[in-house]
This record gives sequence, C-alpha cells and structure tokens, in this order.
Amino acid sequence: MTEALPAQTAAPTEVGTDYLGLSAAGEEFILPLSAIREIRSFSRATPLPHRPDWVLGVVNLRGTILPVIDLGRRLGLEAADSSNGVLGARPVIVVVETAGRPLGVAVARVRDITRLADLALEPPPACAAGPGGGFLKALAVEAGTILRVLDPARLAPAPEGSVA
Amino acid sequence: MTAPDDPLAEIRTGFFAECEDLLGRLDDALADPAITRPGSEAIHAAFRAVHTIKGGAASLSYDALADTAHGFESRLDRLRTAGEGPSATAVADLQRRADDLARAVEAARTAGPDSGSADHEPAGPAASGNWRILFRPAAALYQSGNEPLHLINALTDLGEASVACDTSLLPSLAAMDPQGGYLSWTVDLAGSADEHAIRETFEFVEDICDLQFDRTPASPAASVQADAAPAEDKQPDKEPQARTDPADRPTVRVDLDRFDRLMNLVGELAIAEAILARRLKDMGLDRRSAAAALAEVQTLGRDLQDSVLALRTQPVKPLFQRMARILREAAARAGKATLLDIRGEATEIDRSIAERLVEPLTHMIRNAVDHGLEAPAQRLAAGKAPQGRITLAAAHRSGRVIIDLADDGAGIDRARVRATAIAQGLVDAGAALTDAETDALLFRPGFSTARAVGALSGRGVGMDAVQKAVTALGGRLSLWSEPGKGTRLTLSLPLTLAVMEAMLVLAGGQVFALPLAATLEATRLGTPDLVRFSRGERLVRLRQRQTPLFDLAGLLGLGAARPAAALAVLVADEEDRRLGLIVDDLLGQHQIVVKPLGASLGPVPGTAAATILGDGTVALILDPGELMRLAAATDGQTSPSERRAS
Repeated sequence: MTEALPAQTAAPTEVGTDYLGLSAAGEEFILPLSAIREIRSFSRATPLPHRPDWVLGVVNLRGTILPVIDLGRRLGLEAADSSNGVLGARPVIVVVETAGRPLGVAVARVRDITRLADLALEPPPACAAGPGGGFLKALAVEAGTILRVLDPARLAPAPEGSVA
Repeated sequence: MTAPDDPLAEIRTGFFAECEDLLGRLDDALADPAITRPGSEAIHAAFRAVHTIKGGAASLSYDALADTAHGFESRLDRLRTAGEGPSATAVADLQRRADDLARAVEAARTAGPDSGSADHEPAGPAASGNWRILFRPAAALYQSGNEPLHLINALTDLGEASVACDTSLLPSLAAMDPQGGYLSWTVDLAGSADEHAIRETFEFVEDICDLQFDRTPASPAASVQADAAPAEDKQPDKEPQARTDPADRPTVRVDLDRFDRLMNLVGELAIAEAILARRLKDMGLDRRSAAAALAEVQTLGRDLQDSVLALRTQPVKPLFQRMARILREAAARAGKATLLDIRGEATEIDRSIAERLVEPLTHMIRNAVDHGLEAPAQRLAAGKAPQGRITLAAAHRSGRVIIDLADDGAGIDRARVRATAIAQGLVDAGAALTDAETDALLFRPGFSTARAVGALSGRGVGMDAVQKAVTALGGRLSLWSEPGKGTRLTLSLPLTLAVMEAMLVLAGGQVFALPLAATLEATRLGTPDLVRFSRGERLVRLRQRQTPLFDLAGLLGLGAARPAAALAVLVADEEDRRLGLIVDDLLGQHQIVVKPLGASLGPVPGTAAATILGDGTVALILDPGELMRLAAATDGQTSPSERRAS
C-alpha cells in the first residue's frame, strides 16, 4: 500500500499540467485548471459604479458576492460578431481564484481540457505580440498551433487604490 | 484567577485573549518571507504586535512580561528602521524571541500580575491547578446500591478536598420520594490529582449520575474558595454559580469566519423563505394551513436571525472599562492627573468590531495622554484646571456607531508636525500645507513627534495603525483640533457587520439599498425644484435646508441623469450632512443581510457592501457618507479630505 503511493502521485507531474481552453471575442486561450474553482452559467451581473467597462459587476455565487469581468474586453479584444455583444450568445462564467480571492471571468464558451508537458511551455516574447499579450503567462505549441496561457493573477485589477 | 469581585478579572481575560491573537499575528509576520526586505510591512506588523502586548502587560502590571516584550520591541524597532532587512539568522533569532514572549505570556497568565500577588495569601499546595467536581447522583445510583459517601471519600484521598452539598432540590418531607435522589455535591480538589484518577473513582456510576469536571486555575483565590467552602455546606443551589469567577464563566471563542458562514446561512434561509412564500402564492396555496405553516417557519427564521445577531452585539461598556484602565495607567506613568468622562456606554456594538477596536482605541488614549494633554504646570499657566479631561463617548447616529475621544489639551502643534515631517523627508521644506494636510501627516506610517520613547507610547506606532484598523472595519476616522482647546478623534463605524434595515430604491433600472437609519424621507419634488435641477443648479430646499440634489444613477455613473423624475430620497450621513437623491421608485423597507463586496475589485465608490435580494440577484448597499464624497468630487468642490477634517 505505502509502496504503491509514490508511483501514483508521481504520474501526473511527469505528464504535465491540465489547462482549460476557452474563447472570448473570437480568440482562443487556455487557463491552468488548478486556478479554476468552477464553471457556472451566466447570470446578469449587477453593475458597479465607476468601474471600467470590462468589469461586468457582481453576481450571487451561493450567498457570496462574486465580481465578474468580461474576458474579451479585459484583454482589449473587439468581438468579430458584435450583435450579441462581446460575450456572444451563451456566455459562461469561469470562477478563478487568484491570491485567495475568487473572480468570475465571463467568456463566450469553454472548450476541452488539454494536458501540456511543463517543458512545452515557453515564456511569452518580450514584445508580447498579439491581442491581450500583457496577460499571457506562457506560450505552448501543440499540434501545430500556438496556445496562449493566460495568467489568472493579471486578470483582476490591482486590488487597492488603482481606481478611485 | 483572581477574586470574584476583582473588577480587573474581565480585563485580564480580555488581555490574554488578545495576546493569543497578537502572538498569532507575530508568528505570521515572522514567517512571511518578505520580512527580509528592508522596512517590510511584515517587520512593522511584528513590531505592532509586540508593542501592543508590551503596552497591555505594562498597564496590567505584568512586569516580567512587559520587560520581555520591551527587549523584543527594541530589537524590532532597530530592525524596522535599519537600512537593510534582517538576515535569515536574525529572523531565526526573532522567532526564538517570539517563543520566549509566548512563554512569558503563559507565565503571566498562570502567575498573575507581579505587584498584585502580594495582596493575596500564597497559593499553597495547589500550584498546578485545582479540580472542581460537580457530582449529582440520579435515583438509579442509590437504587443500584452505590453510596455517594464512599465515592466522595475516595476523592478526598486524592488530595486536599473541600466538599459542599447542595440541598436546594430537597422537597418537603411529605413530598419526598424515599427512593429519589435530590442531593448534589461540589468537591474542590486541591493538588495535582490527575484526571484519570478522578474519573476512575466514578467509573462504575458514570451513567447513573451527572458529573462535571472543571480545572480551576491555581491561584490565591482558588485556595480561599476552598477554605470557605465547608462553611457554605447549607447554602442554596445558586451557590456554585455565584462563586464562579466572572472571568471563568465558560465562553466560546469562535473563529469569525465560521460565524460569518452561520450568518450567511441565516441570510440564505430568509431568501429561501421569501421565494417559498412567493411560490405558494403563485400556486394559490397561500391560505389556511400552508400559510400558517409558512408563518411558523418565518417566525422561527426571525428568531434564529435575532439570536445569531445577539451573539454579535454587546454594549461598549466592557471596552470602555478596559480603556479607562489603560487611561489611568497611562496618566500615572505620564504624571498627568486626568479625569475620564465616559458617555453612552450602553451603546450596542458588534462584538467583532468591539474586539478589533481595542488596539486602535488603546493607541488613541495613550496618544491623548502623552501628546494631547499638557503637563499640570502648563495647564495652570494656560488658565486651565490642572487635571486634564478626556471624554470617551459612544452613540448611534444614522445607522452607524460613533465613538469620540476628546481631550482638552493643547491641540495639535502643527508647526512641530510640519517641522518633523520636513526633518523626516515626508514633505518639502517649502511646501505650503493647510491645517487639514498637516493633520493628515499624523497618519503617515512611522511618523512621530515624540521626543522621548516612553514605556507606553511614542514610538510612532499609533495613528497609522489606528487609521488602518478603522478602515479595515469599514469605518472612517476624522480629526478635529484647535490650538489651546484640545483634540478630538471621531470614529464612525458600521453598526454591525451583518444585517441592517434598508430602504430599497430603484434607479437606472437597478435596485439599491439605502441604510434606513440614514434615510430621512422620500419626497415628491415640486416643478420649480425640478426646473432648477434641470438647469444644473443642484440645490433644493428640503426640510428647511438647502440640500444638494443628485440623480442617483447619474451620480453612480450607471445611467443618464433623469431630471424629469419627481421622486427624491433625502439621506444624511453621521455628521448630518444631507443629500437629495433622485430615484425612479421606492421598493419599501427590508431587513437585508450585509455581504462584503469581494476585495478583487478594490473599493467601489459610493457603496459600502452588497446584499442578495429575494430573487437571488445582488443589490449594492449605498453609504451616504461615501455618496457625499462622490458628490463633492463630481462637483469639483472641496476635496474629500478637507471635508473630513473641517
């Protein structure tokens, strides 16, 4: 029993880390699964006064107040099809936890979970090319496409004093 | 711990509870890897924790503890102002000192105050603590042939014991069941008998009697009680409780997070009830039996909520008593005769707020004595009574708790504050500062005008820590000072962190909650008012006062101003500054559960918190004081800080 354990726990680290794919404003990104607490359907958020437009507001998450941001607008992307707004027709809220604080991230849809070897990750280029470059944690090449790993910690606004 | 009539017992208990908390914070700070950076927040936090322990220990005459803390504090003080952060070995040394401090706290807790112990008889053999055993045999014990006397005799073999018999449940002879059990015994067992041995005595009767074991801490008072107990054999049954030291009364300290979860659940229950009521109505089942059952559930829900809330509130009296003690001590050390005037001590306050006010109030009081009040000779020269007067007052105003601390001292020496700030490089030598800006310097971290480092204050811990603590509670701090007349600090705090009565209003398509206590009236505005409003003149005469008028949705940036609306709500903040708010509709008065807005988004202008409505959506709770700041900023008039201080 005790001998079997190390092999079991060691297995996932050899393979890599799981990432959730999601799309916002027609672009695809991936987020480390470990930062994601849950995924829930979109509900109308109560807007907050004097916040940037990418802050959608707050929603009720089982009795606690969850702030929600619009990923597409946060990354500075414009939707290709703006008839449904940046979010699209059936948005979902991905609840991530950064620095112990939950944050709702509204996206157009979520896709599959991808497992990437940690070695496959590369730091984003210094010029952080492409939309939302400043929010990238790493890049990975998988099956000929470039995957962009978002850094959940950079999605939330600076916690204090940044916006008065 | 101490004699039952000792007024300090509760304060000591509070101090040790606080020490636990502070030692925890100290450990956290020392474990923070950032501590090795020069002037890190962690080293400041460690310093503040030790400083507070030292102050409390000194004022309660735990001299050995105060000495240990003082040495540690001096070390931390050197480190926090040093050019480079502590090395790993230095941090390890700090952790050793923290352990020493924890041991000193423990020693002070068991040994009692150094100067006070001489007043009592020595503790005698009971050095390691006494047992109090409450033994109440059920009828079955007698019926099974057991004899309480043997059991009690067996107990007395374990150590020096005093036995008190409680006969208060004895009925009259005629009513007595000869097979029944009516007596109970309290046995105070001195010495170091172990629990196992005591339990063994009762091994065979455990399930046919009531047994209670309590460890009473070894103290002079405990041995006095033991001596007195035999004489009280015939005392009525209230006796055991009455003899219990108030500080020993069993209390449960509950982690605040757990409590908040309970509060959340109660709030959820209210929401679920509202939904259920609506569903029943929709289905036409709102009559007769269903309605009666629902009403029952609602009554229970309200009782539950009230009970949970009652756990949270307490009068400020114990807090103020503690402060009175701190004041006496500070005044004695500073050699300044001081009169304390306490007002409004029955004012109820959220328990967790009261707990978290101990530290800031302590700093405020020490500042008032050390820096606020002049020496007696100076006072006489200024034509004042030699005794300084300090007023500590609490009151409810506009749904908030206001705590005022005022002294009749010399007021803030703004020239000296300015000079110090320039010397410390906080402002340029040539900068022109208003009085309010000068006063604001007092709240800068590390700022101190104190010339001598005293045992109690004057290390520059204080006003920045006070400010931080009050802000963390959702409170505001304002300062008034006039040269020669004195200084007043006013804390405005939320009444509770949990629920409030609110007026729900609709503005810009959103529901908002206004604290009912801050809502004076709702009024329909006459056409002339609106004409002036639409032309941009934002003053309207309400209740014989010119009142600024704002469109609520517009003020919050959540919609265009709607001057056509004719409904306005008049709100006032705790300083009775007023504001008229144009809203679309009034939705009535509700009790709402206050939920913190997630910290992820930073402070949200105009709002204090949020609540969840009956339909599960979130509504923002507006804070009139914050709305006024927002309105002032919108007007481009006086800045919020100037309004604060004026």
